[in-house]
Amino acid sequence: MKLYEYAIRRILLMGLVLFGLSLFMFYLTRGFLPPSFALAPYITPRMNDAQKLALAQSLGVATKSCASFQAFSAFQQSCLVPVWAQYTQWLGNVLSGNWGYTLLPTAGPAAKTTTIFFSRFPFTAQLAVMGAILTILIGIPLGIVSATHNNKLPDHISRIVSLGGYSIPQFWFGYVLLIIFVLYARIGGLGLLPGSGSLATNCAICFANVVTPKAVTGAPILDGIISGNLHFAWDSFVAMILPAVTLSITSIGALTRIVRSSMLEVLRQDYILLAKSKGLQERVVIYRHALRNALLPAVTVAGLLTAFLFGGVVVIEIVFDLPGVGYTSLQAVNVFDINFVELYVLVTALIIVVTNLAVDIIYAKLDPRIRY
Amino acid sequence: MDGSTQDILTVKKLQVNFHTFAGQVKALDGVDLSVKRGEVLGLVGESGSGKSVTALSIEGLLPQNAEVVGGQIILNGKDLLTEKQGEIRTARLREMAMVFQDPLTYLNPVLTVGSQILEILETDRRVFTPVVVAARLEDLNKAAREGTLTEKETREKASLEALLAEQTLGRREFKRLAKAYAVAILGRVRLPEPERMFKMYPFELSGGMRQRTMIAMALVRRPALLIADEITTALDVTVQAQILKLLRELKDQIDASILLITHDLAVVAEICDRVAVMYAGNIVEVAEVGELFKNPLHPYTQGLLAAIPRPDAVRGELTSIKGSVPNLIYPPSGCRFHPRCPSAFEKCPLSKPPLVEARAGHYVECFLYGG
Repeated sequence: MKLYEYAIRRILLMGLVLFGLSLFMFYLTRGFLPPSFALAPYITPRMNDAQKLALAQSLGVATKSCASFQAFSAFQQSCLVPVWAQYTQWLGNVLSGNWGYTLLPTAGPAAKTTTIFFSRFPFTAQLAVMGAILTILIGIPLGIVSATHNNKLPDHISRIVSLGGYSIPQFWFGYVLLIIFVLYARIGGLGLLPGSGSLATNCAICFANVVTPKAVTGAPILDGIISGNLHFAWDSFVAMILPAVTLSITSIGALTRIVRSSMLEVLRQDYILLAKSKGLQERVVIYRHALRNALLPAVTVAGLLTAFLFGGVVVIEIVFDLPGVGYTSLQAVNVFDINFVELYVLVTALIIVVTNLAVDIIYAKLDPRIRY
Repeated sequence: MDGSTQDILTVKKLQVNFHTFAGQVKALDGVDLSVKRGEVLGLVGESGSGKSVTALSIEGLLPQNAEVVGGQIILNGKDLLTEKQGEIRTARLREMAMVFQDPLTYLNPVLTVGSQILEILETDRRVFTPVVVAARLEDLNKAAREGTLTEKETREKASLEALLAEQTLGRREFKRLAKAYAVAILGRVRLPEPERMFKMYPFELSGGMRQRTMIAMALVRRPALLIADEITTALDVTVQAQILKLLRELKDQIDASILLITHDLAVVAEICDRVAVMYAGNIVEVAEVGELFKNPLHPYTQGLLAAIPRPDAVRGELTSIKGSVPNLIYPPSGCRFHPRCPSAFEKCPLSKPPLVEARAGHYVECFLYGG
């Protein structure tokens, strides 16, 4: 089987995974909550009870024989629809894009779930991607240095950094960074880096009075670049430094440790001895012969770390007061906005499934022994 | 043995210790060895006698816990033990090559055979430019003699001849010639369809083919010294014979000395000119192959030769040397073989016997023959 055939098969399987997940998630949210919670995202303020009942019946959360909205609210047996029977209706709705209105108090009345979600999602994605980039750019080199200088000073430093990063609570590390770079490191009365928000112009290395460009992608840095407003892009980038560093500290620690141990393992292999005996430079032996083999386990971990990064953004968004979708989803849980939570779970699941596919493809590219 | 000028490699009084948790392993205890230009020297001994450690010391590739305590390793007049790391690397690239035991684990699984050969040539483009140009010219000259040269090839030949004088070659041009050269070498180690082999990964090849690839990696460098460490041990008997045959053919074609490490006396008899017998970190006997088999002097060598099973021997009788290889953390005093030696006498445990020339060209480290 060719690689692309495998990819196609995996993409089809991906649909199945998401379907299974949606079933599971649907049962978890609807199975234990009163049916009115399923109705809530679709109700608008000015509806009367008759309209609400009709809506409930059209959404499939109340039976056609349900006498009144009061009966539905009181969970009368004649009104209840089994959870499995509600699923197909719900699926039809959400697949056609109808996720109802969000119940978030901050979103204002009649704000669509999808509108709120997808206006904030790019911001979270930007944060997670920056975290992933930092993780790879720091974690891999640190692991290599650690392994090639085994038990020497660079190794000790890198091990302290990685173990520390791995064990530090992220929110605490975030506050420490805020204290250092916003409160203490001050230039001309301003903090070196902005303290909170997606775009704060009150920092020493930011541009002041920047015009906010029209949102194209929703991710500020990209928007700035696309609209040619590089000052805005820079400010957005600067505002993301502390959150991204905080977000990635744990995964940097994890990746460094994995790369270090697998690199040490590979450096002990016979083919490294042969490579050295061929008179190749140290650089070639390490980067060409050792690294590629050592990256195999690291790629697997990197896939898991991506999921971890998307989960970790919630804390970061709270600490740095960022308008991302992670914190919003947490609020959605608090107000029982089940559609919003479901959307968050499904999109996150999609990201993880796609990442896993990418990991498998990269794996096959790195290791020619893998056949599908 | 004195390091005469015709020796390509001279090892003098080499001492290597390994630091382990159990204590210091005195792995090599004053190894004396010399390989003459163009000869095949067999280095035989049991497992653990220090053959591979000797080879790795020469290559400068001992593991981290090993320490060279004393001695000299002189390759082409340079003492490798006093050279800088960079010099030793260059020596590995240009002057010596090593072929290892297990062809599966010694080839990088994720790189193609071709790229693992090409990278050697690309390590030092300046050094290998004349080699690859000369190889291509040889082909073109052959074609010219046969009269099959195309017009394009004629022009290429002229430009290459000019190049050979100037010794400069563009990166891409070098790569093209290097590839052709590598494919030619793969053909020379008798790999079928060398063009296809060039693009294959090690896991796609059989054990014998992998061993041939490893030999090819050694040959591209045109080494003065080829160290072959148990190259047939991991192979099937039939493949062993093919690899030995190949080595014997190559021995005549290439201008290299070979240090052949093995525990198999049959292999020694097959292709070596001289043999050095190793026991517990010492060279105990060195002689011409015929001389050694006809007239073994050291009691250990005698025991070793007697231990070879013979079809004409009395059924059911297998001779062995009594006792076992000593623990090298606490090696026996004096001659390390004395606890197992049938002819040991008072002097043996007291001091280490010197290497004496008992007959012409036949050296032995044993008090029975003087010292």
